[in-house]
Amino acid sequence: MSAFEKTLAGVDAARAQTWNWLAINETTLEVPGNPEPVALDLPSWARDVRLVAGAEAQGWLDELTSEPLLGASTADEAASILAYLGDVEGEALDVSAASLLCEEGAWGEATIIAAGSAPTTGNTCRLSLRKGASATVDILVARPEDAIHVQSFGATLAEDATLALRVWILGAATTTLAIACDLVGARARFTSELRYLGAAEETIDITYDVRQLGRNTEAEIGASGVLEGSAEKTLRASIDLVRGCKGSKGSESETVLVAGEGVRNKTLPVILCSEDDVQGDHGATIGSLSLEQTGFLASRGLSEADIVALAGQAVIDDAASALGDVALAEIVGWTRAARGPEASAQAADAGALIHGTFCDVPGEEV
Amino acid sequence: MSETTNLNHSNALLEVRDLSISVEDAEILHHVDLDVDAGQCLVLMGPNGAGKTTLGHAIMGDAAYTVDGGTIDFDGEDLTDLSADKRALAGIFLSYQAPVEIPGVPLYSFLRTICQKRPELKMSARQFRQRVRELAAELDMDPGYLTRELNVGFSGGEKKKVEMLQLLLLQPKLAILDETDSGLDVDALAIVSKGIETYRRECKGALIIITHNTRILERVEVDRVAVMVDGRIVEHGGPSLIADIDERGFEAFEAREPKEA
Amino acid sequence: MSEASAPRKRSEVADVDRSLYDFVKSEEGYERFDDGLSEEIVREISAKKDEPEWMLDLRLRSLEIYEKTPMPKNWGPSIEGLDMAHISTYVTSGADQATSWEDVPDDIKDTFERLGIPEAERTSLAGVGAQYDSELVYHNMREEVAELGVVYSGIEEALHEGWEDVIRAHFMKLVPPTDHKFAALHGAVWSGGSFVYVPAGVTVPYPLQSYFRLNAAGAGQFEHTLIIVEPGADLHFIEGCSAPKYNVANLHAGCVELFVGKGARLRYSTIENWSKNMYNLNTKRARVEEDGAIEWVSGSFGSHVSYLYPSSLLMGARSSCEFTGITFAGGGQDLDTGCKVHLAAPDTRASVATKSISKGGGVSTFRSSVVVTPKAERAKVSVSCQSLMLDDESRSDTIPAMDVRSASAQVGHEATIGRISDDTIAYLMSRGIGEDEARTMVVNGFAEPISKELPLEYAVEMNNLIKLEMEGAIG
Repeated sequence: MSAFEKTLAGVDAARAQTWNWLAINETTLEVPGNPEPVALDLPSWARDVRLVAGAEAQGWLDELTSEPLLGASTADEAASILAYLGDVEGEALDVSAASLLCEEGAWGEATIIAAGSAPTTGNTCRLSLRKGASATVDILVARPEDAIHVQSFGATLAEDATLALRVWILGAATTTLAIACDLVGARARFTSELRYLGAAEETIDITYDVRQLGRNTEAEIGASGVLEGSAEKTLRASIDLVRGCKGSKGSESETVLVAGEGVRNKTLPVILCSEDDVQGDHGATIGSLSLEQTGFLASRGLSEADIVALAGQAVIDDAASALGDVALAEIVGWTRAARGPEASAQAADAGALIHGTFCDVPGEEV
Repeated sequence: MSETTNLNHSNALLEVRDLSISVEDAEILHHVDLDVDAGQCLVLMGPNGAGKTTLGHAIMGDAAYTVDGGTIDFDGEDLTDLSADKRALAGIFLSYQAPVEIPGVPLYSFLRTICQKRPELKMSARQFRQRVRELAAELDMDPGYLTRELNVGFSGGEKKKVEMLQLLLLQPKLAILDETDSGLDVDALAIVSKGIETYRRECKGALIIITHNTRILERVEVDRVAVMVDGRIVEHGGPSLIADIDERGFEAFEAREPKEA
Repeated sequence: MSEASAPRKRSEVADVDRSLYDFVKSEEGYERFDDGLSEEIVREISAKKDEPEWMLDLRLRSLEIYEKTPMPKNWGPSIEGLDMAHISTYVTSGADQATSWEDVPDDIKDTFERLGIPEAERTSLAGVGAQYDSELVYHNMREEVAELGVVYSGIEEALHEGWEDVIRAHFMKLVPPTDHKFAALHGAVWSGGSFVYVPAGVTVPYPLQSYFRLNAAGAGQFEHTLIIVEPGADLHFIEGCSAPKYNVANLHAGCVELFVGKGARLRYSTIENWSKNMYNLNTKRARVEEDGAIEWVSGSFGSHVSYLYPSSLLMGARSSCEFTGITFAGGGQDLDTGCKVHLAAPDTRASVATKSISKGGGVSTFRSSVVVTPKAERAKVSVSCQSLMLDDESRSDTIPAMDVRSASAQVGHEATIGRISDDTIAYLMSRGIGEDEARTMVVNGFAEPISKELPLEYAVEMNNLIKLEMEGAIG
């Protein structure tokens, strides 16, 4: 295998960089090399989607993608793409691409689940939303503790288009996630919720790169997570309020619970602004919970250890209740392997919540 | 109107003796004595800044409040040195005046976890969901809240309902309601009052209601009233004291000498 | 530029004199070293100062480092307009350092009179140092402060007056020449600056102030400020700087090293108003021991390009850092400012509050780093930065980095960017205030949390600078 080892440099690079001694601007990635590169064949709308995983990482992903998934939603028919990674019998490497075009006024969805046991998985998701289109994209990374997942995501939004991106990173030795989003048309709107759980020696490396070009666009990036053990996480989140995007709003918020003595949490939240009639903001809370929060939780009977366990479980429960039956089995399975039967039973319960209310679980008599 | 003699009986559920509390080196409570019997409802009144919230948090064992002297016994056990979580498991519940936001933790996960900490509340996932459903219905709560982050972005009324839901779910022996009525509109107040009634009826729990507003008391059967001014209990009395306070305000008490225990 | 302007009245915000900073004095008879940088020039500066051997070695080593250190390629404003071959690293009037303004040459004295330095010295300072181009021309301290054992002099004098060992133990130890390219340049050609020593337990009752004036065109100023505040002592140090505007590039690469002892406190205030042809590549760093406190107050108004990030190393338990800064970038300015905080001990605290204003095509970048090491148990950090965009041709970027490696630490960060709301202007106008005045009022209000950290007359000066910038027409 070592003959094919490859080091990718310049991965997930930040749009605006800072002191190099901080080692925060970008990362490098060790991946298996590719003995038989293929030429990726994509329609032009997909080729035009901007991606920010870095030239080397994107090149590596592209030349491993032999059968890209394509979906097109029209006003009459919604497309739904499900990319399932990691469960290829006997293969060490599973890389795919999913591209979704939503025509004017159409709705579509894409779900990317990296959950199987293949050592290395990768995926590129390209989205183009035409005028008034909307899409929901869910990404789940629930991989074994020795596996790698490389995720690249890019979207272009025309006027009045709306994209909701939700990401859960539950586990993997290394996860890299590069998200690019261009709000080109007026009133385009991008919301993203990222939840992650880092444990042991895991590394999570995330770059957001959002450009707001159209008038009255909105971008909202939320990231929260729990880091246990000696987990390391880097989040670079850039919002670029480009001249001309009058009336636009961009916001980033981050909450990190640092719950392990060996944890390293790096954050580079960038707001670039060359327009005056805008609102940009960023907020981050990193570290232990406040005395007020721990006091409140203690008053309900939770010890410090309980609180940390609850915070981790909360990420899993959130994924389970949001993704429900699509990925519930994977989440429950991952949780059992990583955190034991009680945690997985609670995840299964949480999964039941997807069905509208917390009480009416199909197949269960109330 | 003195009921100081009450303080000497020893079968009280909660016994606070000579308790002095400071916050960031400033003493807020001075030598407070307070008893609450099992199932009893005590109303603690007093002007803003009297130290009522401090007493509630001190009984709960909030680490931000330092015990300078005195003891807190509960259910025959000295709790003075126990942390808040242990006191909670022993059966004390404090409903916060301003419930704290816990980003990232869905209400569902939180409720499930606090139930699982209490062996007496062990139930299956199905029973748990059913219980929560009943309580939510009783409190007129949208079940959609269950997947939302605990208290994050909740309105004042919603936060208080979530506190009442926990009260009814956990069935503590003693509930301290710190200004649960403050900032609520009429409808929310009615729901909270109903929650308090349910707690009294079904859990037979004791209550300390902290308030400076007598409105919430109209629907609750009050056993005793204590008045706190400047970090001291200055008056003990029966329910009739409430009408007194309504009429005369707290000024009448402020001039008085603190009661000796 | 009006030569006839009366001495300014600091108390009247409306009374702004544009010629306040922008006037040139003749350089006739001055000694000026050749432009560019060479070993010969470095040796010449050293010889001129009759330095100990180790200082010359440090200069030569720094020169080597300078020559082989590249500028970062992936971040920061361009310094392409700066050509070291056209910068003279040493210019002096030849005047001896005076301890009375009477003995300062008239031209130079007039400069500092206009800048209000002697007046401030009389009314509110414990001591003043005034540097003109490369050398100090005036240095004096009140007798009662000297009697407390406080030392305030030029570095060169201190080297010759019994402080050599202390200086050798501290000089460029916090900011080594290897730190970055312009720290190395500073090490090679530094000249002038201040040495301050406050003995243990001494509280200096009034601030000390050093003022740096660069009068010569196409020259560099490389003053070094070394301050040692011993345990339990307390000092407020004020630094001011300005220069007239030229069409050629000027360079400022000063270096400030601050040592704050156990339980000591140092407040370091700067109002920087370099002219808009200045490359301000300045390095400031403080090391703080147990229970010590460093407080930075930093106003950046001038220069063409600035790289300025006062940095605080919190090495002792319970040590703290407060940084309050404002940056106003107008047309032709690219100001990259912010701060660095390194928390390396238990219960350390840092709070950073900055404001920036961009106008007329100016670029303002807030750049910061907060590093919380595993040793910094229970460390608390809060960073808040607000940026105001006054038009749509300017730029305002916020690039804060955080690296947290302590589980019990709490780090909070918030940043906002926006403009003055139309509602605010409409409201003020409805009360009879003209639009321009309303805008100035809002900008002054925006800057208020910073200006209230400054001594009164500096706050007034800052408000004047804001008014000047808001009027816009200034060259």
